[in-house]
Amino acid sequence: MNIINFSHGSLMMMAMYGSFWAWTFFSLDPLVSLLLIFPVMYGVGCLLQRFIVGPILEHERHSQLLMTFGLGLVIKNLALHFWRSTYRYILTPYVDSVLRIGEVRLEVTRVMACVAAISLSIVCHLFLTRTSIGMAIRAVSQDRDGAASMGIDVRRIYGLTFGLGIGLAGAGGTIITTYFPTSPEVGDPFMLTAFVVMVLGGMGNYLGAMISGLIIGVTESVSAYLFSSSLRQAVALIIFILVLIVRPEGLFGRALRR
Amino acid sequence: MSKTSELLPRPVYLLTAGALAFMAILPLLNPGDFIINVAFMVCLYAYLSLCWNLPSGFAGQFSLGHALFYGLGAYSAGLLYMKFQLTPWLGMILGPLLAIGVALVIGYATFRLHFSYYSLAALAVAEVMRLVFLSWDYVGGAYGIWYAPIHSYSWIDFQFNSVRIPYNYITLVMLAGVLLLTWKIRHSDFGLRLMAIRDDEVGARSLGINPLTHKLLILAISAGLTAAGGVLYAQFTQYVEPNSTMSVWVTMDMILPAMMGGLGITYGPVIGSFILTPLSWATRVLLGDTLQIVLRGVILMLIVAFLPDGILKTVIDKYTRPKLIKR
Repeated sequence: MNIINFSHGSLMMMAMYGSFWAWTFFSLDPLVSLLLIFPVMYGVGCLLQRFIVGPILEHERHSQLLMTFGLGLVIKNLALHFWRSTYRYILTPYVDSVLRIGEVRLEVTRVMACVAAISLSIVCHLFLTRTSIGMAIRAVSQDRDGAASMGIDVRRIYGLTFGLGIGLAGAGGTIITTYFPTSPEVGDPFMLTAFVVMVLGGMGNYLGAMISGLIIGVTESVSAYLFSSSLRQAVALIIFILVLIVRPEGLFGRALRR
Repeated sequence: MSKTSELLPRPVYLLTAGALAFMAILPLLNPGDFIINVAFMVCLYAYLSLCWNLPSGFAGQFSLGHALFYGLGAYSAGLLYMKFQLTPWLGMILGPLLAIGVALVIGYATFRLHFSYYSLAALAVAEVMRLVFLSWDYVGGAYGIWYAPIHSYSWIDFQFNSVRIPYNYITLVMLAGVLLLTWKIRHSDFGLRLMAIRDDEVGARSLGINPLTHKLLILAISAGLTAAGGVLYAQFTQYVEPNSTMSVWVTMDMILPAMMGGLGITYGPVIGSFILTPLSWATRVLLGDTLQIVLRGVILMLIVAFLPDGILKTVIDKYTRPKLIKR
């Protein structure tokens, strides 16, 4: 949709808190509360699009950027004010379980997150390419006016896409609460990594995003191991800048119209 | 065409001149340390906001990580002084040079793409640098660098004992200088070409303007001046740490006055800072740090939603024929 949402990280953080409270108060496993949080975050996304981002779409091009940037700061700092910066953990019964495959040991929680992430990606890909709504979304993102002239309700598609994006961010946040502590500032690093991955893979390129996600993930882990964990994002960022200088369209993107 | 700002109503000039004169007289009235501090911050953020306004307002490149250049300036002066006993005046040269180098790398990587790439990349680099500085022992980590003046009270060390007032005047002079520079750029061919790129990049290219070099040049100017502001800040507080120099809210403090005063308007950031910076200090005292960032975020969202052209531009449009000012 050509909207970059700078509040994505903060919204993901809200979903993580949702998952945390669901566990604390109702003992809902994150995998169960996922079914609840996804629709809620979808609704939040639709509301944001309807009342905050939608009305300024026709403004100057920088409006959405500053608007979502402000929104992200507001959400994050409200969370900091009310919940402090304490790290909160979810201790599910299987949190310490380990999966053994020969000599390789894998944490069950991470395997679950990985499986969930891959299946969500596949579902999302199928949705975008196989269903009529998915095709309408792609049509609107390619040519808004053309799509409108074909009878697609552009405003509805915008709301839906935004809702879907936030919903998926929420789902991602919920899944990782099984092994990742929740805190108000948790979202931003994820958002920045997501951005790096997206640019590396080429904007809107699904398979490219998967492959570059793998590249960045491995790079971050290896550099955390070799240098220090605070430097791992710096290394990913340096790779990212180098790639942009040499190949601005991303590793797998087609040449951009300049 | 290049005479657009002569269409500004006279009150705008008077207001700006009055504000600067007020800041020049204020320290002489001996109003106490707190007021002197706030006055310093008002001038500093007017200055920083003017710097931020250069690439954003004239070239349409919105930096969400300008705090990075500010922090680099503050840190280079601090490190040169405390680790190598080199005068901050040298930091005043090396800090901006470092910031310009970093800015050129980020700019070169992202300026050929959609404009939000630069915004995000700047934000990413600033945040990651903040995290790196927080855990980097050589630069003091989260504790930062405390200044202990080596020769107390010396112009060479950029220290005036416990007297704070000289800093107010240095900032005021820098503010006036960058105001003049902005005015010059706005009325130069260079400025016109920048605004052409901002409004229609493809059209500008077809006229033989190279968008990349123009954007890089204006970003380099802005980054260097922002870093000089950082050096000044370090001398004023005699303490540098990552969170107060490289955080997102420092960038926010640069964006807000420019947005409020009107993007790309020469006098906009000055008037914006005179309104917002005292407000931000008052709320910081009353509400604490996190809530005042919430407040500033809300103000930014309200401005974007309801006054997208800023206060000044709205006023100007009211007083002049709208079609002449429409950007």
